[in-house]
Amino acid sequence: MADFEKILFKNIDFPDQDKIDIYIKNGGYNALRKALDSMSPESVTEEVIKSGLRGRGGAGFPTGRKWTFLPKDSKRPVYLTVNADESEPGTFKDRELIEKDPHLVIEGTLLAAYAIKCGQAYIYIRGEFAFGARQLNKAIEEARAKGFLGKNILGKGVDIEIIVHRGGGAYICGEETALLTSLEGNQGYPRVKPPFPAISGLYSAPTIINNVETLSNIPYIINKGAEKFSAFGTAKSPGTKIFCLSGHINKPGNYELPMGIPLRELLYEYGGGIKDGRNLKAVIPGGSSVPLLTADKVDVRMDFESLAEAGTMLGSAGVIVIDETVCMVRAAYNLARFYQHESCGQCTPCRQGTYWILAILERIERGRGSLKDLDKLLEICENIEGNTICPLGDAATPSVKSTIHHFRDEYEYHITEQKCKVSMGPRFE
Amino acid sequence: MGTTVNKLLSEKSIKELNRLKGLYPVRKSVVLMVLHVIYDQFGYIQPEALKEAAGIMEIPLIDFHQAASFYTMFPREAVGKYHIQVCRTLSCELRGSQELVAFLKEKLEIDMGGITSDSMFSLTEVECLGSCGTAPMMQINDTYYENLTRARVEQILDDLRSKSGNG
Amino acid sequence: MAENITITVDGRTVDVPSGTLIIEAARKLGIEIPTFCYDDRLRPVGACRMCLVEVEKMPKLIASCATPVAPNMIVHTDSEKVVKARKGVLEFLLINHPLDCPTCDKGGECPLQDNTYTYGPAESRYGENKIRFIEDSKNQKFDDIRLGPEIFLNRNRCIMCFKCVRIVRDLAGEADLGVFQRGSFANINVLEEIELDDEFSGNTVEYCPVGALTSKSFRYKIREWLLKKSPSVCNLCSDGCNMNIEWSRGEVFRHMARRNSGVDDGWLCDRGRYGFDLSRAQDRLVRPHIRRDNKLQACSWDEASALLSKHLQNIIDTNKGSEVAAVGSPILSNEEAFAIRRFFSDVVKSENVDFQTEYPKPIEPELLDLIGLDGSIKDLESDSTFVFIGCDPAVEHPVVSLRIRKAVSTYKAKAVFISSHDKKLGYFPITNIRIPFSAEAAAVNYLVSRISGKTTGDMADFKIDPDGLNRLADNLKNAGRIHIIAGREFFNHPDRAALLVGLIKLKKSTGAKLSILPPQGNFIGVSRFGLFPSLGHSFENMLERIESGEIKTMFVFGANPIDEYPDRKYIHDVLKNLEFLVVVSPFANATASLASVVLPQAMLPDYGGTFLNIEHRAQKFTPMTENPHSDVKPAWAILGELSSLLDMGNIWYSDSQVRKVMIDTIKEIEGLDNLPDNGVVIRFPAKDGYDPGDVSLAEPETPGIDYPYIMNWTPSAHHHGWITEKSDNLMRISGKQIAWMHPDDAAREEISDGQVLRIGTAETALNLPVIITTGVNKGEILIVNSFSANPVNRLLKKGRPTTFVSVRKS
Ligand SMILES: Cc1cc2nc3c(=O)[nH]c(=O)nc-3n(C[C@H](O)[C@H](O)[C@H](O)COP(=O)(O)O)c2cc1C
Ligand code: SF4
Ligand code: FES
Repeated sequence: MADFEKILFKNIDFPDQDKIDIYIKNGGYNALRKALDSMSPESVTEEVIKSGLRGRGGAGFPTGRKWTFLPKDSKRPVYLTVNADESEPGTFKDRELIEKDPHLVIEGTLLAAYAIKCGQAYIYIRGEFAFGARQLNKAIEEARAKGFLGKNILGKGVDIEIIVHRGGGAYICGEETALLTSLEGNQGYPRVKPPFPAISGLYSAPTIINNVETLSNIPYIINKGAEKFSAFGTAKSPGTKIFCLSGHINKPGNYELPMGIPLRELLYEYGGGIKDGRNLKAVIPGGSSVPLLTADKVDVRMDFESLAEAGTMLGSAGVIVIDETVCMVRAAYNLARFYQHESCGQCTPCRQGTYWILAILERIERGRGSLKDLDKLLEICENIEGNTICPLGDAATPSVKSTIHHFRDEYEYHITEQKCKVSMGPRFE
Repeated sequence: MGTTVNKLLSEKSIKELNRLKGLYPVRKSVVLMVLHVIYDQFGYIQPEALKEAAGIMEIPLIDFHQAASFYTMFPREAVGKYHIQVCRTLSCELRGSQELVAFLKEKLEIDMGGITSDSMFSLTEVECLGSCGTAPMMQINDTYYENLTRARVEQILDDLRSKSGNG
Repeated sequence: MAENITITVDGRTVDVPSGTLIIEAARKLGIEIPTFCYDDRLRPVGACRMCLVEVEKMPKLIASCATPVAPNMIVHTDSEKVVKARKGVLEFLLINHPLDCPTCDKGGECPLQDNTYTYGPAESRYGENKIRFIEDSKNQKFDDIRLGPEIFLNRNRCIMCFKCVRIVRDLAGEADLGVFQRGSFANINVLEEIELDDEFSGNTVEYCPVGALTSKSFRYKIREWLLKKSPSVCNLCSDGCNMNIEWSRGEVFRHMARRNSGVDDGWLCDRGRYGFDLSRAQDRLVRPHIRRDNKLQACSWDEASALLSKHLQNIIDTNKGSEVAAVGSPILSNEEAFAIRRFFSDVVKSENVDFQTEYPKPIEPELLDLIGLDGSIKDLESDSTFVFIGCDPAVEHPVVSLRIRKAVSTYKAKAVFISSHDKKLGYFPITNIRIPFSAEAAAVNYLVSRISGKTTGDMADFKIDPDGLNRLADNLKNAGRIHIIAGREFFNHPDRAALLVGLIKLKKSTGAKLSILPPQGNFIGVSRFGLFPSLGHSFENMLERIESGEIKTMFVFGANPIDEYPDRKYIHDVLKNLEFLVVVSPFANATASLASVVLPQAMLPDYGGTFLNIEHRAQKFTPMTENPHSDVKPAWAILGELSSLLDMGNIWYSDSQVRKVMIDTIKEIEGLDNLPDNGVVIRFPAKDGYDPGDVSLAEPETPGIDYPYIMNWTPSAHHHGWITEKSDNLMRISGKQIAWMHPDDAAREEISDGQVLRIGTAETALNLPVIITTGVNKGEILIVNSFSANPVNRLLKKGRPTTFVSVRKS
């Protein structure tokens, strides 16, 4: 276990870290002060570009570069929306940041807003995070009282407001354009791109959307400089990352570790190994939307490039651990149910495709499958992929395809024997 | 165009609605926040109260109903005083959410989607609540209950019952 | 914006303006990309994914309906990937579709059927249960939900193209229809207590790409392929929307839009659409009648014509043409109007023709040049400030109001209404400036003074609150393209002369366009082609001449003065004095019941001809070619035959013959004999420089103690004039006559919402249910007119467009 300085979780368990005095005592708001004192918005952006920070919301797009897509000298106001919708199964990192260190999120948001010359930022937080919303609102009021937020911040003539906007329960609102549609008071329907939000986003004005974790890195980058940040991780995936461990692991939870850490180290050294001493069967490394890795791939490194090479994705780094007792048909059914439930219903392939997949998997689950179903499932996946408005359609297929691909025998057993090949014993204690 | 007089919304709710009115550059943005206000006061989307709120916000009623039916957080009919929502998605299922549900059904003597005869508890399943590392878990009203075991669930139900003086 | 972009589609290049969607660029090359959710008039949503195309260098297929062209794009609309994706989309659409084509109303004109035939998979691989939405009502289960009086929805057939929702919300600006639930269970519906009954609701049915939305008046009646189509033009208002009348064996089954981009852009309002049953209405006159034994009795055309020619021959022989008057109406075609004028001046030798039976005072001849739309209908989309005075575009010009809605809803324009009661354009943002009833002239004069910086005079006399007007005046000073539009209330205005002066001044001081729009069908056509009383007596004068015995014979064509004239008792008494009254009408009506002879008149779709719409566009309508009503005739045919009986020769055997004579007579209408499908805008030379000079404002009237309320009236969007009441469809949609009053007045009179009121003068009263609203002024009772049970003109007195009334619980 290599020792390193934590960027995001440094003070996460510090008592009363959510109170502004403690946050300041631990070095909080220094970055904001530094930026307003001595840096232009452009140089903040420059520093973020230099750091190589990539989005932590799933797609891994370089954050600083995204900011430069805004039109220069827009006549319309520029908006920043912070994506705190965190709904990807297996992912629970933003929640911990928000609940325990809300000022870090606020400071990151203020810095980003300053960099892109935005006077109004919105934090779109998933509705169920009621406590998180309260924490953020409390932090905003504390920050306002201390002059870090609102009109004329720190006397530097910069105005930035932050509104915490609560969602209502819809995974799709994590997709950036659906988030905007939802924030405008509608059903969370993703929009066709182009136009991209940086050109026409919230209220048709230029808009930047960033993930909570992404922005929480910014205070460090401004405080310590881009080089210090990019010293962690790999060349193409610099910095640290919060990995969310869940499923059959002895010590589930969030772990901030440098990008590129081997999966094996994550699971066995940090996670304490597979629960109850059982054998590992598979890992979904990046939230439920990415293809799974079989146990033999456990030496892969956890960064954008290495996982892509291994045929999957880092995604949101929600690492779901599946042990040998799990029926993969059941697992696929579980996720198919999720995607069918969460499809917004706007475009045909996703609306109908997720329904069809679920119907077939449910039938197989009930022991009424046929061997022809497997190829049919794969073809349905093919007809969804790439043909939808937003990537939710694409996200719904990897769990189906990769389970069929790696565990076809379990499907076939299910179909011919009308029961699970393996069965999970009681897990609820 | 007739004006309704019976006011269901509490003063607190009305105050919050008025605050929301001017908060966004485009008024319609308040739709979800208004639903939260109604939900917070009633525990579900009370239709008459929603009508009042729509009137105050000067936004067509249908816009609220569309949203309320799209988003999952807003029960359209009265639920139990304690609305139990169990996460059923993969990480929680791997840690026993199906058994948790069975246990709750047995303890409360209700089915999925049901409500206890004293209207104290209602039970539903929901998708991932962002609490996978602390599975299995459930949300009761606004609060997350995590790392659940049979003993803890019994304790929680007892506490809630006694909190309502029903114990 | 003007720069062009070149792209390649299926190997051919095309040059299009930047911003053009790929699908439109392909269309320019004649390449049709299949779609469901796309409509070039609606905001693209890219939802159905039927229009996916492959663009080189792009990783995924893209929706051609929602993606603008980019330089050097190379597009393939038929590649292997595209073909597969389309098949996939169709297969997806069909999995939850009921496939009940044999019993579905859309059969034969169903894009889902057609696209599946052309692009779809050969067989279905779907073996799971289909989602079924079932409406549970009174313990019966239905697939169909009643959305409103005309419209039904079968959600199982719906493929979620969002067209209906976009039509209702984005186009009309109504909040009636919505999408509920999500994912596979997403479905269209209305809220329980709300009806889909806005003035454009029928378009949802026409443009639904499957049989999910159906019209009560059409469904299950006939298969589409049995219908014949007669291109026609609606004349239930003066917009001139193009439509197809669809019929079989002489029976009309529906009206469908026939797109004319310059006029209707393919929309039809519900009045025009569902008024298709008029020609088969109960009251339809199909045979001539003559009065015998003081009763109107059916007879043959020979009998009726013999009687008429005998009467006219006598008049001609005794040179008593001036004792004859002819009254037309805006429902007539140009050809009818022309023939009437020709017949009466040439054969009967009477110049007494008019059509203004609805107005308290005839229109000044100079006004004729100002009537109509300034600019084209399409131009409305680029105006930036609309000021409506005495005009309710949503009611008077539904489809044209869509252009204004479009400009307003995209924030390109503002709309301001100056009126005594609130008006609206759906839920789109507009401004209502409320003034006292009939204070329009004073308000406009105030605006003019304020804009030109003159002293504004005292508004207190007129009880006008100047705040709104001040703000408007300030805005008008630096507004872009201003368009002042006056309408129905202008024609009925008690101080019309002063209002006109004010409007002309306002136009001059702001550089605005000024349009005075008559709401009734072919108003402009009949006034331009012969029925304006340029040499003889106006209708108002005719009435006096009848009273004095100077006029003894009257012919009425398509009009119904007893229901129209703003003093029912007076007109009734006057017409009774006539020695000989001939009523030519498509329907039995109150005036006809006084007649000596009643003749059955042709109406749409019995005959062909042309109309002029508000932009002076001449447009052609054609008859259906089978008609069981063999006895109905257009006015020109009736008069042509009479003329030959009178030995003057019949020159009119067809509408085109009448047009030939018209063209010979009136120079500027050259193109009229060979009209293209989209019509021709006729430019009548304007007698320019019309300056009505100064007119002082009439003193405002004050109500008395016993009759404290001023009565005002309005048409409804679905129903205007005595004719539309004959349509069962329209009465089903909007058959309820109501009155509105202010809450303060209601409180004083202890009246509650929905109560039936007796609204009356000393002599007579109407009994109507009331709706209480702050949308009308205090002291004003606003009544929906045109219902024969409670005709507003019963309360009115000759020469005055309004009256004071008392209000009591009935
Ligand atoms: C279906 C779907 C769900 C998503 N959910 C989230 C989410 O919950 N949180 C998030 O930050 N990004 C989510 N994303 C990614 C966002 O669209 C977007 O890429 C991200 O917020 C950008 O921020 P970043 O550049 O800081 O990563 C989701 C994307 C999709 C397609
Ligand atoms: S892919 Fe699914 S979630 Fe995305 S727009 Fe289409 S239906 Fe909605
Ligand atoms: S027509 Fe393009 S997505 Fe429907």
